[in-house]
Amino acid sequence: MSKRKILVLVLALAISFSAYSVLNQEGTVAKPEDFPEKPITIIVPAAAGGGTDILTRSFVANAGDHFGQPLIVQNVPGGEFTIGVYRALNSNPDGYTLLSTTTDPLVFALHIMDVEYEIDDVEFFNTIAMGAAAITVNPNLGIETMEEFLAYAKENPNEIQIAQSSLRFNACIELLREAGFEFENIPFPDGNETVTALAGGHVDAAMTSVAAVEALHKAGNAIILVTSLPGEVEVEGVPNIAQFPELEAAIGHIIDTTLGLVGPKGIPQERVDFINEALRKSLAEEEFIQMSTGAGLPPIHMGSEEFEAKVRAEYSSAAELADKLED
Amino acid sequence: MIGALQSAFSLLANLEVLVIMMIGIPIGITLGAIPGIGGMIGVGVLLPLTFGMDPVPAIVLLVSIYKGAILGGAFSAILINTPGEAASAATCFDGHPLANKGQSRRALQAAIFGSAFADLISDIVLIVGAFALASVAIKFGPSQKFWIVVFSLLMTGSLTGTNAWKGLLSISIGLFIGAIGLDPLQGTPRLGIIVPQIGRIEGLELVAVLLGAFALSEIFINVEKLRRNKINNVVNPGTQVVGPPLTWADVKESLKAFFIGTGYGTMTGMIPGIGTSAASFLSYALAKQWYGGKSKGVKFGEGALPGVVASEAGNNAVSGANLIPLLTLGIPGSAIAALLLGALMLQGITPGPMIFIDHGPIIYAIFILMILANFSNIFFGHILIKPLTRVLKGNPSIVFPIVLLICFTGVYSINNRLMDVGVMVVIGVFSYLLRKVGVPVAPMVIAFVLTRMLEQNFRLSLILSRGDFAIFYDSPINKVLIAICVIASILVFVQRARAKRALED
Amino acid sequence: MKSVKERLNLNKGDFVLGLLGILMGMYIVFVAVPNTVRLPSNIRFFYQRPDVLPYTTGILIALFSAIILFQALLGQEKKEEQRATNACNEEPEEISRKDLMLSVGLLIVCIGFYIALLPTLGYLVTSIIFLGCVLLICGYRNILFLLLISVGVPIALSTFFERFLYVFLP
Repeated sequence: MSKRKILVLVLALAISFSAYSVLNQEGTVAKPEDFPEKPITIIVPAAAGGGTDILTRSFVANAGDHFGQPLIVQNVPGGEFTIGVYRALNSNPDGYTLLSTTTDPLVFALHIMDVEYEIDDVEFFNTIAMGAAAITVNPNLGIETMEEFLAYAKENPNEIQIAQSSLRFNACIELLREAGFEFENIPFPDGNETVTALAGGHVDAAMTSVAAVEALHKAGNAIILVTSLPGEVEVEGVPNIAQFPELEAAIGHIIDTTLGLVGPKGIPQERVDFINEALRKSLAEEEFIQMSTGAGLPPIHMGSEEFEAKVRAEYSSAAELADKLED
Repeated sequence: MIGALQSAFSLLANLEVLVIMMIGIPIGITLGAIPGIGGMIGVGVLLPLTFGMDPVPAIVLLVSIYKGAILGGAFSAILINTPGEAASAATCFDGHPLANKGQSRRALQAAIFGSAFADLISDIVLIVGAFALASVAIKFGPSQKFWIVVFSLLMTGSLTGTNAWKGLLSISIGLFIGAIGLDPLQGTPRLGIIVPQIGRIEGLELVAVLLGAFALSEIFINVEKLRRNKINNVVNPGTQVVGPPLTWADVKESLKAFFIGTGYGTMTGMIPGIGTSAASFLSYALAKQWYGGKSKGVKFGEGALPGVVASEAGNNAVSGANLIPLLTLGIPGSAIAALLLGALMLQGITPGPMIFIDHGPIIYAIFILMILANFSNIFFGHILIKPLTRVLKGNPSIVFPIVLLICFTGVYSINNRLMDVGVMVVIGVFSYLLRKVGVPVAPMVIAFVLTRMLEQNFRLSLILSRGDFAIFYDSPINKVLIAICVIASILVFVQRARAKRALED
Repeated sequence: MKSVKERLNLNKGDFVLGLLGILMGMYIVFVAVPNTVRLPSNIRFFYQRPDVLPYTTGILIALFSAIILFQALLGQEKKEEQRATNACNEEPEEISRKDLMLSVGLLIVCIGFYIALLPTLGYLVTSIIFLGCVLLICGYRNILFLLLISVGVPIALSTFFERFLYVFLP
């Protein structure tokens, strides 16, 4: 073959190869023919402005490109997230209605409230963010480290009042009780009231998300004793829960909440794959990572199988706990 | 601080920011005026869009919408007796009768000025005293808030009209309605009558109850009037629709009401967890008390201008003060404040004492803009007086059906829940019947708003004190609050006795 | 010698109100609360019980209704009612003619249909029908305009809500 022909051949191969990779830049998953053709709705089972809502909205802001259609956030608050979850799980499994939720309504609500959905009704996608928790005390208590805190609790059972406002943290406090650390559980109706009470000294300690108390800690109005933030991210000077084996053993597996995307079971597999792929790409967006880290939520994600496994594991723990509490 | 102020002004020199404010305020007023939608939806929808903007324009846009919306609620409250926002409910009481007498302009101007200046004052309080006040506000825990709610309930005694027992019945019904929903502390459903689902939500939707009790019942009563007029062939005189403007004499008369509303709104706005609607009702009740039930010969509830001023000053003052716990501690005092917190955090601004050091210029720029926004409110509010009045006071047989539909749509849009519409209708029919037998509806609504706070704080206090009732009178703040409650009850009692005697003469 | 009727001076409205109120209170205390409030297992103190407030409201409603009932029987309140003129909260006690109440009843029925049909027919269609009916009830006679408004307003509203506010109507 003449040099020219070889050149042409190589050029042609090069062009077709790059054309192929450009066209398939969407990754290893090809976009299904007819999906999505109209905007996709993502239901947030909380009122506008809350943590879940803000995160979902910032995720959605950049995700439209990857999905090929705009994503619209719909708030359906009520019933400790269950109403929105129910609405989503009952919708048409065509991939146009998804749900962005923490694991709480899928894990705890199922045991404690009578809800009309089952964990088997859920199709799991990737997670969006991990929610770290913190145990914080009011400076007036006179305790400054977790060691002191735990020691005091062991010696004076039921004296320290710890406030919380979610089913999850409620369960954690019960689990701590089993592990020998007895706190008095003060249920607050919502996170803001909890933090206010802590700051004002009306309650000794609180178990909340890291984001809720970070500002207080930095200002010196409260002391965070421990967080469950994974290694790379941390609040300055605050130890991770891994440093307290007893604590870790008792509640380590259940103290974190995860925000993830789910949908009703029955969506065609190719759409599921596409959604997962688009999701992954959106999560890799620089802006989202910045926002997420800034809000105290490390950009660590789980694939859909991992997510499902984690939720089912939490579900079983919650079931055990619920049984114990019934007695 | 001077350096920060200088940088703040340089940030503002940007025309873009001012333009955004000029857009945000009218949008806010419009959204606020539509029953069912309030600033919340506007702020909620635009929130993600602000993500890509710089911090100052973003926050300015959201805050302008917020402030515009609170003013907007007054427009529909006065013109069609339908509070556009929960906070404007008390403005209906005197605003609408004024509009019916052909004095819409006076009422609207009073509302505009009252709102804007009250907001201005509470903004200044915010700027000057944020941190000092925050540390005080924090001291108000469950037992303190309990007494504040008790005080509010006592004050509604002055709104109950001539028959005290009917008023008390109204309050009791309000308490019952407020108890429907999930138990605030245990989370168990309760009182899921008629439809089990209503027992499972956190409580009946506030706007649904408000619109049902005030707007729907009013529409029903007016439909009766319409038919009666048709039958009797009464032609609507329809003289002065817009009416005479506000006079200086009006301003002087309403000054007391203004300060009551502003003061009360600012003080309670600082405390996280007491909302705008409670503040506006209370400012109204307090003003009515202070004025002895009448202003210039007109009774409160029949078109006393100070009533409008008190209510609007109250709810706007809360908006500025609400930002105090938000900025200094990161604790939002209300739903919209929560949205603003989200916006701040999206921009990477974390509230706390460091906020003035880390983001000084930005925060000061925002403060200055808030003050400017108040003046824009006055400007745009005035522009809208004539057109809106003519539209909304037009042929009632057109206006009512359209308003009805808007109410339905608006209420549905809050939670995407048809049940809320159902709640609104049921409460509407119920309130209509109550009004026909002479039971006042306002105390019922106020009691409904306060129930959750009352129960929650009472029970929380006892849980925290482990059953010891002393928590209610131990702290010095509580002692002061109890004294205020006692004084309030005496005053209400005296006022009622005087009113009764006046009737008998 | 006063006739029996005069002596009774019965305020019909108040009497009915009192009676219904007592019934409502009793319903709350004996039916609504026991049936719908579930007590969690770990309750030890009264302030942890979710049913304290509901019971209290039921009792209060019954109590005040009873007082109103007595007052109605004693004929005291009729005089005062005639002087009540608070425009927004109370209407002067007028005996409404049957057909006035009928039009309101008709309106309520329309509303009922509207809510019931909303999920099936969707927002646009149901609203158009609804608006038309209500305009008729309110006495609007100009057929052309009536149709214009009935169709135009729902379209405008749905565009506004769905496009600008991203709120999905049924």
